[in-house]
Amino acid sequence: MSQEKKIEKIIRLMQQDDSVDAPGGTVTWAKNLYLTRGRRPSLVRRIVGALQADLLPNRALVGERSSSAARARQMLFAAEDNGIDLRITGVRRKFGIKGQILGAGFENTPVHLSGNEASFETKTDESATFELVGVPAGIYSLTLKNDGAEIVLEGIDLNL
Amino acid sequence: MTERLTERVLEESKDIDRSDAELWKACVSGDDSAWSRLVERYQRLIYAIPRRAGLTEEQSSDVFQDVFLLLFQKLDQIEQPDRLRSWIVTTAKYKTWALIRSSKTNQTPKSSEELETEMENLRDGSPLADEALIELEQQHLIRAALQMLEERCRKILSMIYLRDTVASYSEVAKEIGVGATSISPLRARCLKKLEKILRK
Repeated sequence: MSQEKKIEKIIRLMQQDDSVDAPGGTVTWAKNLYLTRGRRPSLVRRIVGALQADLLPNRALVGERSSSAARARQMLFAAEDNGIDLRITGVRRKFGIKGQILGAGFENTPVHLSGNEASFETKTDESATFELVGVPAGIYSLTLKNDGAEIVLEGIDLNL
Repeated sequence: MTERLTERVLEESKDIDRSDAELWKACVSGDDSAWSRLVERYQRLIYAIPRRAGLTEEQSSDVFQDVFLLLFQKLDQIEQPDRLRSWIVTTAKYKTWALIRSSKTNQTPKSSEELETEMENLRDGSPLADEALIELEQQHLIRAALQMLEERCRKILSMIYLRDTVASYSEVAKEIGVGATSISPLRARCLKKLEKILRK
């Protein structure tokens, strides 16, 4: 192809480029994933997860230009070698929680959600994901266990 | 071009010389800023794939997050970091198709082989067909190449050809600080430079 033809093609592609930036909150969420990347394991095996991002549907993050377009509330926790991604949906004061533990070691392991009013048990699957449904509003702790560690995510507020 | 956009372009230019493989290597060795650059580099391309296929903003955000989540999980297992772009595009394509399929049939494919067969049978006119995705990748490369031009050329071409900053020759001339008659030859010269970058 001649240089002239190539330039014509470049112009056409530039003019037809209708792509737009992904929503700011979604991009921030992707950047924050790295905060969950494992650090060196400590001797303390009860690990309290630290909240890294809390993305509410259709609500702008501080300092962001646009709001999240995601349907679910998304929370991202860091816990030493692992990260935990939670997606929370709510209908009529009942909530569903879908979660995934990022990093190795939490495949087919128990999950325990406990609050003042109710508690729930389930297990992660082979990809370390789990789901809980019909959870009433309240404040909960989520515990994830494997043979050598226990990750606790405290103060999960299912009233928002 | 607004001041804010100019600042952003300059910010993005800082890492433009670092290849995907170099950014990946930095990510693996613990450089969180390299991960941020990768996200910035690919956010628009990844989001464009489901949007072009007709998914809503919400669905496209889900695809976007699934792609980055998977990339993050596989970060230490990537064997060909120089082929990261292809991996990202293919993953976004599969995630998009899986979402379209599940919303149409309310069923997920029985196996990854079934999904692959369906993907191979997509018609040429489909927004997820290889031809359409190649065009999106080419647009991504052009945007990246624009960042490698000197500021004046970048401004001229962006203002004339990109939809979000489209301007008349006189507006471009005013922005650049030259006479309006100079814009046409400058534009031609900048296009040649852009083509040369893309040829590398």
